Amino acid sequence: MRAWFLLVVVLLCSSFNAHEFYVSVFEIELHTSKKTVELGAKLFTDDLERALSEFHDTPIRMDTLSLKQGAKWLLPYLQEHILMQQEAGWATWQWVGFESDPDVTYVYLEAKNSVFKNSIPLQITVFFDQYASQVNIAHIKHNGKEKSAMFSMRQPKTVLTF
Amino acid sequence: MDKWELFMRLGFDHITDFEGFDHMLFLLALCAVYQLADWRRWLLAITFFTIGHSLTLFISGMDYLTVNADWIEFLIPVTIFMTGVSNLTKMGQNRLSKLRPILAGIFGLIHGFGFSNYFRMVMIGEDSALSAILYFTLGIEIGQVLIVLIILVLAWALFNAFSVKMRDWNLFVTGIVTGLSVVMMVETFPGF
Repeated sequence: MRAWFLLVVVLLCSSFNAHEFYVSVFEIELHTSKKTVELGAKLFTDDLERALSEFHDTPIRMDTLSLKQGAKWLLPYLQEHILMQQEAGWATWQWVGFESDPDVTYVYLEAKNSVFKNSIPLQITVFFDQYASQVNIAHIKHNGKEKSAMFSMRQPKTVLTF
Repeated sequence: MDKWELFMRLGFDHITDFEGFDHMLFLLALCAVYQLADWRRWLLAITFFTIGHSLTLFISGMDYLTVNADWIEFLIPVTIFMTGVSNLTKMGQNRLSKLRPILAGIFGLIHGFGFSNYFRMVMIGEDSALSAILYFTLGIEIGQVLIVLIILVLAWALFNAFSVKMRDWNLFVTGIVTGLSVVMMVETFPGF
């Protein structure tokens, strides 16, 4: 009995991780008449710094980045990890800007000449290489309707039907 | 899926995943002195816990009052530890005691601030914060009831199939949970 008890305690302690969660939120709005897509991302700053540093293989700190440098370091990473299917290939993200504090960073992107069908494949794999429990949440507005989706390692892509 | 469904799933996942491990441990400590058949008693205790955490999730989720997250992460294991210690006392083991639901309600206030730290990260835009909170809370409740039922059915099976005594079960569960809460208090001690 005592041995079992100790075993359980040791197992639980070894896997214990203080109350941390890994989550990002994306707000995407499709403007049919202007053929553009606006995207806002809310990301934990420390997770973003780790992902960018690993992606570019050089240490990156958000508080030292100018707006222009933001485009240089963030855009290639996000382009690879946010894939949205248009009628003609993947949406190409363009840089709009970012705001950052020690906790949270907001990144704004847009895609032009975007024409979508009623069903839109979307894949968001931001921070999946860093954290196995990462969950990405997206709210997508299109033609006056709003849909939400969750992306995880188990389910990295979805098809939104409007 | 719709937005309401997403927030309900986030609430449910948050308490049932290992992300919500500390909330799970609290429920385990709270229910260690109850049997499945005492449903009026344990339902009262978890209802008070729910009232407590819903209140602070609402005021903090709506940004009326925010509390330093580091302190909350430290205080949550303190609530687990105190509940564990109370399980060893006569008062704690008295299933009829009114103090137990009241304590669960007070401790719930602290857990609600913990839920709101997560909620405020998943919230983007302000337009539907109130309904998002309501569905998030509902998801937490469903997860919470499920966890409590699993604990109590497991205890019921041990009592009946292996003639485990209530007192031994309480000591076993309380020992594990209280021990873990000490580790968590050390790890989350503010400024550590």
